[in-house]
Amino acid sequence: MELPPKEEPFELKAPVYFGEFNNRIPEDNPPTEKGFQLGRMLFYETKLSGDNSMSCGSCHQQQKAFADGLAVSKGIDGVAGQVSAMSLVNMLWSEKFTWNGRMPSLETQSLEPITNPIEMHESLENAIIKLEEDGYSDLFQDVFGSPEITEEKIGKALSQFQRALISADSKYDQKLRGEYQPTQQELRGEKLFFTHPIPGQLRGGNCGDCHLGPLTSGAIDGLQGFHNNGLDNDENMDEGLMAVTGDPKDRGRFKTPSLRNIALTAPYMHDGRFQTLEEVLEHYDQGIHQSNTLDILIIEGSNENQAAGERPQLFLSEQEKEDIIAFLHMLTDENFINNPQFSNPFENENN
Amino acid sequence: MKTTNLLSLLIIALLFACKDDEQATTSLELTFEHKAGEEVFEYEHLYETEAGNEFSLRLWRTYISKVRLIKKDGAIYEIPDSYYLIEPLNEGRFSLELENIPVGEYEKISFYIGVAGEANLSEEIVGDLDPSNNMAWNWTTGYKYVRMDGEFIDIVGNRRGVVVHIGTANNLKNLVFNLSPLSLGEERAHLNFVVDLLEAFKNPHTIDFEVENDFQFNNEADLIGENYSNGYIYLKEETAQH
Repeated sequence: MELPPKEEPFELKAPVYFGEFNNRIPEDNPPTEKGFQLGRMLFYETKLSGDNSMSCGSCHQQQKAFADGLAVSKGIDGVAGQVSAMSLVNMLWSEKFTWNGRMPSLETQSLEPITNPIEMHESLENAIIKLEEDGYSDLFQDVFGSPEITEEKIGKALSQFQRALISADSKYDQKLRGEYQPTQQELRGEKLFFTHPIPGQLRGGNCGDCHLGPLTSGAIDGLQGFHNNGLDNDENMDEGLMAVTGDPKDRGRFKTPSLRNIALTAPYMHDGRFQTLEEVLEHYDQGIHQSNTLDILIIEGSNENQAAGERPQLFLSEQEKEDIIAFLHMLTDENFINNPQFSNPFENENN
Repeated sequence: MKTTNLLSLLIIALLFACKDDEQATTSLELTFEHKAGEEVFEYEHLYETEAGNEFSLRLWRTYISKVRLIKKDGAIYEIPDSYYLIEPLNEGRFSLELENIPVGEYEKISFYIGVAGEANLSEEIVGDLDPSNNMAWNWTTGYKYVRMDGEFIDIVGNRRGVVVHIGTANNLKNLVFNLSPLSLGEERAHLNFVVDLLEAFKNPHTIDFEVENDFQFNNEADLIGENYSNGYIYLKEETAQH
């Protein structure tokens, strides 16, 4: 077994408008070409699952921006999970992983689905034996300087691959670099997306209050990037962040996902309840459910003066909703979903 | 051979240049104590405004920039790339270290609340400026200078937001503090400032959340800008060890 041939030199590159990221790469896991390649193989390695049928790439498919197009995914035993597989993108600008933020690092997050009984359902001991039998020890030697395969090293290599999943070549990026002239509709949508509305003064879609800046993902520091976006009322609300912190104030707060490639990652929300972007816009426009933990940035975001205590609505016009959706389509990055460096290295072997 | 000679000359020239410019420098520590009136500030804790609103915050951040030390003769030393994001971290405190300050006696210290200069409208990462730090709007509007996210319960019992996102050029405020004066020598000196949350909502404009509780780009945002230009940050004590 050999490492797949290098396509191009591997380097973590990101536009300056994404912000600083080097300080979030763990010191004990610096990215290397070989580490990335090993991580890529492990990402697509079905031996990591109990019956050798699934890999990380089963639910995180490149063509779907590393989501799987399903509300919830089924593991090897056909049991469905409770939350939707998240798109894997620009993870360097994130610190707490999964919808409820319970995973403190990419290294720990990467191992969880392997052992989760309703996902890949394999013990790490077994997985390591299978990798050894497949000749992976040499590759671990190359990357880590010792041939032993350990769960720590598996987590590190998988993280190196995922940290390299940087999407920064969408039409929106091209616009930011001055290489693409957006349509009038796209420009209107961009402005609406990033504008917090002020009744009578400024029309806005209020999206950018949580989906920040060009990354369109949540705040990185602390728990600021977790919000209750009004999916449910207090009676039927999922726990969200409260499952991790135990604090009732965190009930119904979920990680604000990146909207990069959002047109490819339907269905939407942590439980995949919305099938289309139109449904998502309808939700924020007039489907918000009141609750004790509904985010204040939603409560205080409307294009009309609303009486205090009223169900918060945006009062967007049909045209404005279409404009915002046009902007969301600008976030699709064809080069990202077709980048051969991110593809399944085992598929070519069979061709 | 020729190259070597040239190189040696260059090195000698550089050595002299360094010697000429050589001036004793020192450092100065600034501490910002976040308070609500007399109380040490804590997140998720109820405070009362001048107008009588009880409110709490989950996020409070303030940008200061262009830190300058001014001598009696008017000579100014400006800390390069001085953009600092101040927030209540350890028991409400935030400390930063100004380095390479020429020793001497300084009469004033000044800085802006907000992001001064062109850096505000650029994507450059300088000092504490970072487009992914939850303080940026975009490159035509720049950074939020003061950010408070919180909530209050109104008189009829509704839970409402307190959203204070203040930026734009007109809310950039220069603050000047007189020092006694401060002699900066080889020992480290320290300036202790207080940032008073409640001052953002009074003096001169008493802000009543029942009337307005969302401050972003609107006229009311400028009222808070005027409030924070005076009394929001004040100098509590200076210590110089001799």
